Amino acid sequence: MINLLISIISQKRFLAVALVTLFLYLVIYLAATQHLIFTSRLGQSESFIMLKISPDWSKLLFRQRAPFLFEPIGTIYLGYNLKLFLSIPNIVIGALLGSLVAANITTSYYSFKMLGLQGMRGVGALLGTIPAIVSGAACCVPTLILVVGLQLTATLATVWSFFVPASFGLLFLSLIWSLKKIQARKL
Amino acid sequence: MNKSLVLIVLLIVLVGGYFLYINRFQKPDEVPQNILDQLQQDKPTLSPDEDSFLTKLEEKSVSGGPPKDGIPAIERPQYISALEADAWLLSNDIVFGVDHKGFVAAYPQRILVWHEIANDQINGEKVSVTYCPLTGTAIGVKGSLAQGLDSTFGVSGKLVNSNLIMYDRTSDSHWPQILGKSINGPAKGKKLEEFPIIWTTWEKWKSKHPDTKVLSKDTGFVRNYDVNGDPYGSYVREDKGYYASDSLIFEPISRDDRLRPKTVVVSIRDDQGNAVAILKDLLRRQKKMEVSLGERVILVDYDESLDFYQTSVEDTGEWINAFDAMWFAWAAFYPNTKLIQ
Repeated sequence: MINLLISIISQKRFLAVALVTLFLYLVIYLAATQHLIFTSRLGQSESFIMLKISPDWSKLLFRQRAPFLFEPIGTIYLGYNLKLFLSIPNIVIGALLGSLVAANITTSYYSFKMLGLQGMRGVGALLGTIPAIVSGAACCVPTLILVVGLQLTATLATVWSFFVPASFGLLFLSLIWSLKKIQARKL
Repeated sequence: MNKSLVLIVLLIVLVGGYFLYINRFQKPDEVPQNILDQLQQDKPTLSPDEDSFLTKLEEKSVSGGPPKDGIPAIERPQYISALEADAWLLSNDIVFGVDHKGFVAAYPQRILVWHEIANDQINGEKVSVTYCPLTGTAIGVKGSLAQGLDSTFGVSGKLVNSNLIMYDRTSDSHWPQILGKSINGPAKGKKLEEFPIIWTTWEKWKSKHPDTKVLSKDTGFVRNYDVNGDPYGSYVREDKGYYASDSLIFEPISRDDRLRPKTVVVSIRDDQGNAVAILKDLLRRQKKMEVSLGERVILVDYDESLDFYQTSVEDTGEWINAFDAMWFAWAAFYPNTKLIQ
């Protein structure tokens, strides 16, 4: 199955789809976890890209703020209004999730374009990304609670800590399912 | 298919291992026997009612989401001058002012909203400036748990009546900020000594204390301390978000409909469990008030220059703590509170 995935992605056209999806997902994930924000650059220097790393970065690198949410070790200003909080584990988590999303979308696109399979356009796979996107936390409560205005219950707080692994699981299963369909069709 | 199964098992093992790994840090350290002995010697006698009230608060504690220390207290606060702070603080930004034993400093709300506790020392005495965004309370506590037993505080990750529950790093007991008393652990029933914190704006504080120090953004952590960085809302913008809406994130133990939930009241309580709340807008209009708290009369003197107040016991002139609080939280901790509106 992995060979099938590699053979799909090694085609330039599908590789482009995968890379664009990966990039877009990473941006959405970082924005949803409040690691990528719009802000004003009051009192900062004028260079277009500015990197600032905390002197305590080594202590912060793997320190957790919330389930699957890690401390940033610095900030990068991108342009004058975009600020990225640099949390290496979260960039890795976002990239891994993004790779799974990209694989799902690319296989769905492939099955539709090359094999004419309908109903596999990655919508199911996109549903799998939702838990990870809402897994972000404000200082005290999950961001989801603040945005949606729900009341946080003990059950929701427990479920919340499984959002990221749930996304991994759903995306993984969805990918296996897509690849199996393609394999069956090819045979 | 076999490969898929192996991958799924691997995923489960990885996730399970991860949870075991993080839970390792959740276990409290064992408290040394000499500390337990010291706390035992100093143990307050609790009435059955008070004991069950504290137990109830412990039972009603809920996780706010982040783990213990997931909201990191500031351990080594750095300070800058008022002039330097002017580069990024707005005149109407909220600051928590400390004027205690010759130490004058402002703690911007924008910073403390991400940390909730700043541990420091004033003249060799351990003190903590604490702030709970969800109940709108800023309280200064001293770190003395018993004779010769000091501690700093951390954020436990738990809340009761939406209020921050701190833990002390000496006995790992839990302390809801508004109550100021420990609800469990070796220090259960003990009360923390407090010192005044003044909730005001940067402009007012700076006018009163031009030489004030200001807590620096170099906290040892990387957070969004910008004007729009507060994840709950804003005390500066028109859209105040959580701070003005009637909705609550966590259900309090009890509700009291005499005021809207987030109405700001001046809150005063004593060791005997007496409590009184004064509508802050009323105090602004009346300037001076006398309120009874148990057997005592408390003088409340409004200071327009800071939009804050001083409180003292009428008979003795001694200082008694009073602080701003959102009504819902105050009424949930003190259901029998008097309300002056």
